[in-house]
Amino acid sequence: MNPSLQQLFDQFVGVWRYRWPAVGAAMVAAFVGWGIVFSMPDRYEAETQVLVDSRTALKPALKDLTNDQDVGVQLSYVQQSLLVDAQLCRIVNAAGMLPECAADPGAAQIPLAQIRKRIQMAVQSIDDRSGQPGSAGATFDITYQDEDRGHAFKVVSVLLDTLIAQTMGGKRQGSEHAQEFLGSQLKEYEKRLQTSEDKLAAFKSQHLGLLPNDDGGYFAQMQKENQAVAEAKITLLMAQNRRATLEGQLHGNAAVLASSVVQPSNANGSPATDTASEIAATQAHLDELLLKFTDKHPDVIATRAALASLKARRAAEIVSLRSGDAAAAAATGASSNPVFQSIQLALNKTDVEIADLRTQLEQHESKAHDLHQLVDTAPQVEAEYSQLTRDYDINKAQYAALLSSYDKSKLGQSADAAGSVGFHIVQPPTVSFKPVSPKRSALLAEVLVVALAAGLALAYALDQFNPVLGSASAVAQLTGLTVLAEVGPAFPTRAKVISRRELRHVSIAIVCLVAVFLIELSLSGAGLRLDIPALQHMVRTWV
Amino acid sequence: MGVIESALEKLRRNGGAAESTVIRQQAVALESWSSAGGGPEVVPSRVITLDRTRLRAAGYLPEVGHELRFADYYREIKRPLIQRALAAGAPANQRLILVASSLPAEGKTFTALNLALSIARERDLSVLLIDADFVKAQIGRVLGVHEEPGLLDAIADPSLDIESLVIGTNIKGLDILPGGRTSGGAAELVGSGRMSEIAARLVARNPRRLVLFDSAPLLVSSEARALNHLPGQIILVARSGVTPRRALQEAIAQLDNKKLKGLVLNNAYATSHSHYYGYPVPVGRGPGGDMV
Repeated sequence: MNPSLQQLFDQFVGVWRYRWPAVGAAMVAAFVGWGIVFSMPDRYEAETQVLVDSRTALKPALKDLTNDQDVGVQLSYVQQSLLVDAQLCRIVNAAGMLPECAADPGAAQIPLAQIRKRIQMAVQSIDDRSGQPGSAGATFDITYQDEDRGHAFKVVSVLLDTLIAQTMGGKRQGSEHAQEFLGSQLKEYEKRLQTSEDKLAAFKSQHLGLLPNDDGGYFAQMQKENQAVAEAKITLLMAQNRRATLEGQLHGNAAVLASSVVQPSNANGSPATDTASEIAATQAHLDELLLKFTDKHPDVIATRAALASLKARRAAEIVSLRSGDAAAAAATGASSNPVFQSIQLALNKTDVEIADLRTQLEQHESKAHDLHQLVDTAPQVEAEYSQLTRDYDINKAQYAALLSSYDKSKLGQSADAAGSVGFHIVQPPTVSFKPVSPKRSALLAEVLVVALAAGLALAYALDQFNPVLGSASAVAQLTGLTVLAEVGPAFPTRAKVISRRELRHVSIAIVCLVAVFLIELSLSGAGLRLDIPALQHMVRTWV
Repeated sequence: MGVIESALEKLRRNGGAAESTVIRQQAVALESWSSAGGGPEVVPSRVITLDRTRLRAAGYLPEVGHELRFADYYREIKRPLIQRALAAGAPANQRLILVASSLPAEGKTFTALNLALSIARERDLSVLLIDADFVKAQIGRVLGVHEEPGLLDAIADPSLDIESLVIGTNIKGLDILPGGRTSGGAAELVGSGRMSEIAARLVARNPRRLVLFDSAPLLVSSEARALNHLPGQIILVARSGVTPRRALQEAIAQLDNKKLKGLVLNNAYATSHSHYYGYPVPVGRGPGGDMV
């Protein structure tokens, strides 16, 4: 024989020894179980279904305009709170049950707990096209089982009413709370904003001029001034150079050249008065005289003398011109020369420019100096200023956000009042006519199966507790001894008769048990109930 | 020898209640004469007849139609026992064999009786079956000799010769020694030096005699435990599906492991050896051959 099969057979033989205790235990268990099943009180179930629609026409219109309170969260909160002792007590009282719990909810804790166990609330969320769970609302199933149909109905009705009232109330309460909070926060932030505004203004007036403006901060300003100083210096230098050049031109050869040019006669025909013209005229006169006279002619001699003196005067004039004598220039007629005049003009302009630049430079230098002296204080002021500004900005932003939330909340409340969440009662509270619980047929069958299993388990346990020898191989393994022989049954015929008889008797016992079960099934259908108060009380506390 | 043996065989086959006293006495005489060389053979003063029908009805012989199968079982059991008992240089106490069990009703007496019958079938061996279960005296009762003086009397009274108490049977080579009258203190008597002496005498008398003790259950009776030290070989009887594992283990713990030669498992409902169900299987030749 297959070793594992042999082992199984050994096990069976061992268990078979305890067949009668097993049958007895199964019978006792079955009858006790059946007694309990028959004494279980009938229960009726009341049921209602409500659809919580959070997607009304108002909702898309108010999207982003209101703070949307989660209806699902509110529902589950209410669902939980409904089952709290005090609340449940109120509901149960309203349904006309457990009047004693109003006086002392603590004393009625056990019956309340039993009632709570029999209440079931199932929320099933409905999604809209966005696929967001619960976005379209939820269906809410409330069931309650009670031995009394009327009580069952009332409890469910009261539960439904309470649920609707509390969800709406809770929502309104929620938004009121929110508004209250937002209002207080708004005031707080208004105050803060005011304070920071005042501070900023005071600071500004105190540190006037040191504050960074549109041109930038302290360092940018200083840099700018330094650059301006450098630029002014360069411009001044350039102007001075130009002036030197112009001066050189005025006193140099240009002047001499200009003075030597014979000026054309004036328009009014008056002779030119400058020395160069005189020299030219005298020279011309001399040349004329020499055509007519010899050198010994007195006129010639006189003219020659005049020319010489003129030339001497001219030399003297040039010397004085070179030294820059204006009178000399005027005398020599250089000043009336346009070139000379333009140079003189440019020179004068440059002088003015230089004076101007000097003033500018001084201004910039003093400003840079001032700025330089503020090197310690200015950045500090600047930092303080930026901090104040930041505080102010934050307060301002927060205030603005709060203000918008506050407005949203107010709008949301108005929307709720106008009906943005709707309760539709899908199924008004109803009670079944037939009891829904206990399911006696199933329970009776379960009892039978459990009882038989218990009997088997008992036999198995007894065998495990006192195991007997099985096959030779098992015995050899157990004892380590040689099995000299496996002597078969000495009276196989008699043994067979006995074992068959035993098998038959056990079968009859089990069949009887099953027959009793079948009879009970029909009795249960016919409405048989055991009315044993003690047993019923026990069952109530269990189930 | 062949003539005598065949005559004895015939006698045995015809044996049972129908056997006449004359023939029986003749057979005993023949046997004692034929085995004269083996030592001082004592002819039992009293000879009884084994009533197979009665034995079977009392549950000490297998059901009709299963004898061959059972003969096989006991041949299997006796072979190693005889081998050790008759081995060259084996101590005399190897011929003392105790059939023990942990609890009552495990088939101890059945095993002892059937084993004795099987050994008796050996041509040159004789067996003495001692009813050492003094309280129940099952062998004595079923054979009707439980009132006779037996082992206990011999121990208590040193003047009694043990051999004079041995009762012969109609089966050649099988003698019975009743337990004797119990008057309390059986355990002390069995444990006494006189018991050892008697045991020694029983095996010394005939070197080809085996002595089987059908003892009381080890876990129940103190005599069985007192008897433990005497035999050279012990076989333990257990009943499949009945004997608790713990009881068997306790019994084993009480016995001398060196003497414990094996276990007979009764009521074995399934076996891995198909020949137990009657199929011919070549059997090895041990001492005593393979004759049934």
